[in-house]
Amino acid sequence: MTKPDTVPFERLADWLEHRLSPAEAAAVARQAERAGPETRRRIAWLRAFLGARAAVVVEAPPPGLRAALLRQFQPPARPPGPLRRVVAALSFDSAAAPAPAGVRAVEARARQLIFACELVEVALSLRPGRRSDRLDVNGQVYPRGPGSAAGLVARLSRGEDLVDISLTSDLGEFSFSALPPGPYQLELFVEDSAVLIDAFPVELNPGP
Amino acid sequence: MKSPLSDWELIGACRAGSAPAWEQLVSRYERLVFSIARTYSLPRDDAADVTQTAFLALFRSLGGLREDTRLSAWLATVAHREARRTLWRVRHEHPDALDLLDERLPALGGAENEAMERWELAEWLHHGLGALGDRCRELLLALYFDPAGPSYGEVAARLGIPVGSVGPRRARCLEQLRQILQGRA
Repeated sequence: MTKPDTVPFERLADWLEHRLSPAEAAAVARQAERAGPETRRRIAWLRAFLGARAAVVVEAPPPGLRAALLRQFQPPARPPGPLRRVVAALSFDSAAAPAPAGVRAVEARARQLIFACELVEVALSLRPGRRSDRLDVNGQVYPRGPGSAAGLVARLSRGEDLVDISLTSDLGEFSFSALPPGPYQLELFVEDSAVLIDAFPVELNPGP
Repeated sequence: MKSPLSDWELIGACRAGSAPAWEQLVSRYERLVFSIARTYSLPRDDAADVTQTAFLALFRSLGGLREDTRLSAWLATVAHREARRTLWRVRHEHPDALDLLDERLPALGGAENEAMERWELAEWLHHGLGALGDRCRELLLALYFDPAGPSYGEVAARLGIPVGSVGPRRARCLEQLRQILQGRA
């Protein structure tokens, strides 16, 4: 049985979707005015849902897409083991090295970092972004073995927060733009390993 | 009623080689990724390419996802980035198409914030829709997101259910969606 201060959810949905006759809608409106907090919360949520539904595009994909996505799945050849985690260490920082003769002033505004581990070398170039308080990071992956650098997933995070995800190009390039300065973590997924670049500084000049 | 497997359970099954689990993930989030790409007014072929790239990234990342990863947000992040990358590629490869693109693409220029808001709304909705059972998800998609605006009778015929049950089912499914999105399911 319906409590006196509640209106059935279906009735509320019909009301907010204008599916009721004017007399029925007026009756629900009167009930809603007297309703308790739970009914008010439901009304607020339904309004938010209907507003969101009107604002976003939800479109059925082309018929052939599903099959293409299913073909992407390839069961592992061997039982999955724990992801191997490999830490890449800093091997070069242009901010800590003297600028070579002939380097143009504009280049001095960029900072180059190179990280290396047994699987890959990762070169990062930090440059001022379009906004003066933000930086852009361009990177390139150089596999040490015969593996491809294309299509790797690069995940950028800051503390526990995911910041962005980039996929490497055919040349192993990836980028992140408009980053507030600070320490970040970069993970690259290379076959069954995750290469971690921990707490790398997104800033043009090293701190004290 | 058996509750649908969580994203994390499906990811675990995929890691173990389960193709049906992958199919469920695709079924849950294919529309989200495709729709985000379309939010940028990409042609359907390009939006399909973005969707394939995003799911390829997911497949390659299966081993590295953590239990607290919100998969809808993860996929939305990739879709957003790839859609923007596609836009820039089109701009550079076909500079003569700039006028047309600027006219068509809300993500460029002053409407960028609006596109972001819609993207976040889409992610919010798809997160909830993805966590629903298949029948509820299909019902709500048909009733609320089909641009053709089908009637209750048409939806009933499409889903093979009595027309009289559409209204009550809709209410139950909406209530489930509300509880999911409010973190109570």
